[in-house]
Amino acid sequence: MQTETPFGDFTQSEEVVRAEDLRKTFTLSRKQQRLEHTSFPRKVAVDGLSFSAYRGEIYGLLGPNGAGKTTTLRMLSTLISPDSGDAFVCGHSVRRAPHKVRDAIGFMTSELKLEGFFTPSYLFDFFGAMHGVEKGVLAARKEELFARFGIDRFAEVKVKDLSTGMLQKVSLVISIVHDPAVVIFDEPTNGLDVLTAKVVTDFLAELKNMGKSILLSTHIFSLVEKLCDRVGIIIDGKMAADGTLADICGGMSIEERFFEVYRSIKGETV
Amino acid sequence: MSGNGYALRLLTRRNLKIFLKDKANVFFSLLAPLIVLALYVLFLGRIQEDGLLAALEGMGETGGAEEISAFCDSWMLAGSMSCACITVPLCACGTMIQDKARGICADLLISPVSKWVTPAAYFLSVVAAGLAIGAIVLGVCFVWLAASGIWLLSISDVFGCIGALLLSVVASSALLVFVVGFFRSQGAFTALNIILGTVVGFLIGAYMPISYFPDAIQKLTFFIPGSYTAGLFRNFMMRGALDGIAERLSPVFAESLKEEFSLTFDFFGAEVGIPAMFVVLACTAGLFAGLNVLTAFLRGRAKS
Repeated sequence: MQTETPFGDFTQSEEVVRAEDLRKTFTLSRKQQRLEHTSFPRKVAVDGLSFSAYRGEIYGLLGPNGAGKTTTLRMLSTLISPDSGDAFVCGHSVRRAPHKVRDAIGFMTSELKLEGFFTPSYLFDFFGAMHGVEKGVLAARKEELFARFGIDRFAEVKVKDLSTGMLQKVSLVISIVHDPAVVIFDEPTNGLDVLTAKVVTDFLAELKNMGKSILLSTHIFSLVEKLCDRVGIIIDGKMAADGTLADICGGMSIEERFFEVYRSIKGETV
Repeated sequence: MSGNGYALRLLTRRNLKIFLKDKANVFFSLLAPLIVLALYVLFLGRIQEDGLLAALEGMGETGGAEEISAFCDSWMLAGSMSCACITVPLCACGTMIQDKARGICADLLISPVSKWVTPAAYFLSVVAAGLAIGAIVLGVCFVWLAASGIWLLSISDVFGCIGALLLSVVASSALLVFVVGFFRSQGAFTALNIILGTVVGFLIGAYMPISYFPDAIQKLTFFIPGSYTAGLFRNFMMRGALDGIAERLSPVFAESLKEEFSLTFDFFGAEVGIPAMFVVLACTAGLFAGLNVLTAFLRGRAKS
């Protein structure tokens, strides 16, 4: 489907992320074994996960805590390698071409974890240079993004003196400093107040309009309903349901559908 | 400059900025040298001077207060300098732990640079911090000696001090980055900082000469690279004062001081002089730099 946006046309059916049978196992410490109520020293965090995300869409990985969402995103962002299977971002394998994958992605964290005495301007330049963005391009992008998100007036203010909302905007803008095709966001609104959460969700919607592909993990149903075009329900590291929001829900709310899937797999009443 | 080279420079500068901007951290990195100075000014200096003058009197020599004072001052400054070469790199390692504990490493690793760049930048920034602050401390030591009217250093001694600073900082940085690399929490690092900051002055003989310790402890200090750092600084900073004692007072007394104040070591029967001290520090730097490369490689492989 050809979509027209203020930032140009793009083909929405273009596959930009493909996960193929991803599997990841972790070794559990004795303490973790106690917490997990298991005597097995290993835990399968992700078990044969496959899905695709397309250009100009927001794909949401929905699941309870410990389902394997973060592990999946960390594999896609090359922070950890899968035990087996592979994933492709813009055609590059996370196993064979992690550098190219890192070039193509922006990994957003829900908080800016950098020192308070740096300024947004310094941080933007620092991460831009780390991503190899040319100085001229970097300056133009800084001007454009800072103006669009109202950061320009605070560009030289120390991060520690910014409001939470502004801090979040800075964090978001920095994660797309190199204009990545794919933006990965782990629990985007976790721990944020309503105003800051709105900054994030508006930002994600805007990125989508810019033709970016967004992958996010969440356990918040309203966020999925509000933002996601496609959704994958993960339970115990396995993909329990995957498709467009309309296909998955089939007339139900995502919350009702999720618990239906959960019950069918776990056999438990929540 | 290549992408990795440029990123290495950027990250090193960033780490260095983080360390230097934290004034409290910089101050605490100099706590051990300051303690040496304070103890010396308060009572250690007087005790040392009185003790040495009494020993000199016992040998039938009278006078020599000026020479002994110059000797003791140089000994104290050498001790302070040696402590700084260890404690400053140790505190600069704090950025590594801070980044690890706060998850900043992930933000850095997500950029398209090779995985060796981040650990290499930590090492370089620790070395840079050690050299920068070490150079300032060395400058203060020189000013102290000049202002006290006991400047007895030759040009070769000055260059010797600079060489000792360079090699000592690189060696202790390599060792400390390796050790701190195994730490995960800020609490554990703080504990290491406190313990090392407290005992380092004793172990390298900054508070009192190593020869005053029991034999077993003396032997233990031979296996601490910091002892060789202290040995080098003592040789370069105290040589002039020692020569003055030998010329104007007693060569025998000067020779005994050389041994008592660890200007040379008796390493299980073999005398360790200046060249051997440089070799020990160079080997320490090489060994731990190699171990750092190996652990970075193994950690990268484990993650994969």
